[in-house]
Parts: sequence; structure tokens; C-alpha cells
Amino acid sequence: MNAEPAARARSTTPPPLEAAATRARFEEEALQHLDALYRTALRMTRNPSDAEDLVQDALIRAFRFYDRFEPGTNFRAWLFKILTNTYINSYRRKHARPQESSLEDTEDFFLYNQLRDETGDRATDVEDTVLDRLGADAIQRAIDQLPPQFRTTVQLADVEGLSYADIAEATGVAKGTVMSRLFRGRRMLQRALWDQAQAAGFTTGSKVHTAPRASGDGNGVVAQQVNGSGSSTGGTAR
Amino acid sequence: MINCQDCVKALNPYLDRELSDEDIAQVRQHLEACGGCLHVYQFQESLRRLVRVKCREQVAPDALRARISVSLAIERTRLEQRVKRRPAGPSLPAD
Repeated sequence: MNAEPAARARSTTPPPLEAAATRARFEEEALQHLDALYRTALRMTRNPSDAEDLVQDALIRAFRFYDRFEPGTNFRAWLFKILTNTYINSYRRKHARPQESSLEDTEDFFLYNQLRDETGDRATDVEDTVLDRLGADAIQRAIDQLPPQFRTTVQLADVEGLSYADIAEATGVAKGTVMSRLFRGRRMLQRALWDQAQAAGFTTGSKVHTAPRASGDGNGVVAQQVNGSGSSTGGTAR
Repeated sequence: MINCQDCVKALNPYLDRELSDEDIAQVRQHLEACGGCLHVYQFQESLRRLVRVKCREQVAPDALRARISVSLAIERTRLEQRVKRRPAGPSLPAD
């Protein structure tokens, strides 16, 4: 795990000390992102053993191509990009027919409105609502219900905290596409979280918003038909 | 000052820290003045936190970490052997 073998090499040309040191640094830096890479791989493959293989393959590729990494740019985004590419090249075929979810599109603040109806009250913190009883596994299942391109984008933004620009780099799409995927993906996620809460029996499930309601009921601040961040709601431009 | 509709539209990019300083100031100003929007903001913010915190409980298995360290050590050895070999012969194929 250090530069020892290279130091012993004593070859006739400049010893590969520098390369070895660089590569040792790679391991140290890359492993700092292992949890994030693994979580994201799990969302991509939805299978722990495939996720492990995917992360390992991706990191070996990253190691081999490390000299192509431009210092000063975002290393984490670069690793996610290699993860995405490795998945597309080697694993996606295996998961060719992921059962597409039938998540209905919904309103922007679905959960907020839903919980207000449920409790007749407006919670300012999900900790005070049934959602807080959802475990990590239920929340992950909710994310897994999103169609693949939305799933990865939401995961990278909402769990791993990547910027729009970094997600664009990591997933190989334009920033505007990231924004529209996030916009729609988050709406779907809210619906999926609600479904999980219902499945767990945490909610009465009697009232579900299916259509944006008219404003003017005294709570008009939650504009139901607001479009997302300047991008069209229409869909995912490619 | 921006209105409620513009404010809720900006909440997600605001939470994503993707707004310009000027827009951030506008949103903050509105939230300070508008209890309704502040309410929605607080809810959305806590929802984000819930998803982030709970999902981050999941970490890579130790076995994977160990396996990757071994794989990378093997890769490193291969690389070093290649570097050593290169100057020796005219043009040995790299592997």
C-alpha cells in the first residue's frame, strides 16, 4: 500500500517512483468516495452483488485512466462519470428490462399538501410526520422506483450532494437536462415516498391528490403548477 | 420583491445552492416576509435532510473496501512491471 516496491526497482530509467506515488494517492482519494459510489451503484443495479462488482470495475478503470484525469477538476464527478460509463458498458444489458415504475407524475409539493390533508395541520418538519417513521430501506426503495435516468440524478443530487454541473459531467448530459430530470424526479420521489408510507400502514391512504388543486383555498402559497427552474416540465431533453 | 409563485419556483435551486447571490437575496427577503412560503421551504428542507441522512446510513461493505485495495495493489504492481520493462527491449508489447 505504499511506494516500497517502486523504490526497490532501481531500473535504468527514472524509477517509476512518481507513478507509484501518484497511484497510491489515487487509492487514498478514491476510497474516500467508496460509500457514495457504492450507494449510487446500488441504485443503478438494485442488487448488492452487482453493485460491488460495478464499483470494483469502475475503480480499476479509473486507476488505469488516472493519468487522463485533469488535476484541478472535480475528482468525485470524474469517478461518478466512470461509474456511469462502466454501468452503461457492462451492466446495463443485464438490467435491460428493469420493471419500469408506474409512478404518476404529481404536483411540486405533493407531500406537503398530502400531509396537510392527512393531519389537518401543516407540519414544518417531516420529523413531525409519518415520513419520519420510514426507514432507510423504505426510502431507498422509493428512489429505486424512479425510472433509471431520474433515479441516478436524484441520488447524486439529494443523497450525494453533487452540483448540477457535476451531475451533468457524471451522467454525460447537459445541465438543463439535469435540471429537468431533477424537477420531475423529485416529484416522482415524493409520490414514491408516500406509497412507501402507505405500504407500511403509516397513513390512512384515503385521500390522495391526483390533480393539482385550484389555488385560492387560503393556502395559495403552494403554487401547484409552478414549473421547475426555468426548464420546461415537458420532459427530458437529450 | 419576488412574489410567492417565483419564490416556490426557486425553492429547489435555492436548496441546491444553485442560485446567484442576487437570487438568493431575493428568496431570503421573501421568506422573511412570507410565513406561507417559509412553511413550505422548511418542510422541503427537512424532507431533503430526511432523504439524505437516512440514505447515507448505507455504506460500502468492509469486504468490498478490502477487495478493492487488493485489486488496486495488483494493478499497481502490473503498472510498475510495465514501466520497468519498457526501457529494456526495443518494443516489447506492453502486456
